Amino acid sequence: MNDSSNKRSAGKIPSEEQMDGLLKDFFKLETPSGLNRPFRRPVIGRQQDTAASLVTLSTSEPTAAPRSHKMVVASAIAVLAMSLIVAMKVQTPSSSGSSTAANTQPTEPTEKLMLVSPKGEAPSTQVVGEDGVTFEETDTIEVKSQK
Amino acid sequence: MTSPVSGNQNDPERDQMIDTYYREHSRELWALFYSMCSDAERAYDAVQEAFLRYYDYHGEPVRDLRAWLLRVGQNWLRDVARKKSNSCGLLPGMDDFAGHRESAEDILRLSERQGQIRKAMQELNEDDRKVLVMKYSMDWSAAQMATVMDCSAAAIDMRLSRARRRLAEVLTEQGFEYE
Repeated sequence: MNDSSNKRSAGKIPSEEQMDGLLKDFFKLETPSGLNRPFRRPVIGRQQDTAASLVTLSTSEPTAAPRSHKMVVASAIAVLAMSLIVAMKVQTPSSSGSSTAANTQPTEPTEKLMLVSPKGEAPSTQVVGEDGVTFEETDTIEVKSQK
Repeated sequence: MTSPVSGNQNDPERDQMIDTYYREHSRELWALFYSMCSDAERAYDAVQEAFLRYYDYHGEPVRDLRAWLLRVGQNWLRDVARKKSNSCGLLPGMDDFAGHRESAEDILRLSERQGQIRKAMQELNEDDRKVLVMKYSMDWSAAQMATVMDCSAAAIDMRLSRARRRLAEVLTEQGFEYE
């Protein structure tokens, strides 16, 4: 008891006004600034907020632009593909005639050969050419270069 | 304050109620928690924790939200005090050093002063701390404090005066230098 009273008397105890100022300054620094901010929601709540903001953003024009851009590109590719198909179909009838002709050309000699001997099992004694040569006789013909 | 709804996190009405309640009462809750632990950051964490737990609460409707939040915050503070480790933390006021015009020496001196007053506050009993916090942190009148502490305004004035004097004595004993 005496010790504590001695200690108190040793130092000068401040006045009420001094203490008032001291405590005001102390609590000004002590109070967290976060108390002036709104309540920090947990992550789940934030996700909802984000989802909501995304919905609002998707309806607004600036973010809609890339989507329409993609749509334009996709439709352009589709139109290009369609026109390519149409062009190919248009080209097909004209080119098919030539291609069939080209296809038939190699078969023509075989068909002509068939004319030589329309019946495979038939004897090849029929007249082949205008000069009356038969198919059998053509085997014996020797081809020699003319001098 | 009675909370009519509870548990539904997607209820905008409930969200708004929590926001409003936080805006109006978080400071008071902080002051009460601070008077319990004398740690500004921990008291703030207790406020956040109490509100977060209420946000996630799925039980029966809460009759008295203030009492509910106070109880949750108090329990959280007790748990933290039990688990208190000797981990190293930043000195108060040093974390936002970059934004200050004062020199590092001034900030350190200020931080030491704050620490001394904080330590002296811990020497007071909880009711004395409570009136000081309500008065200087929340700028409450004696009548407002009387409602919370369930006593008369005159008794609050007396307690306030006594708390200041006790704090001054403790600080003097500690060799605190008044400016």
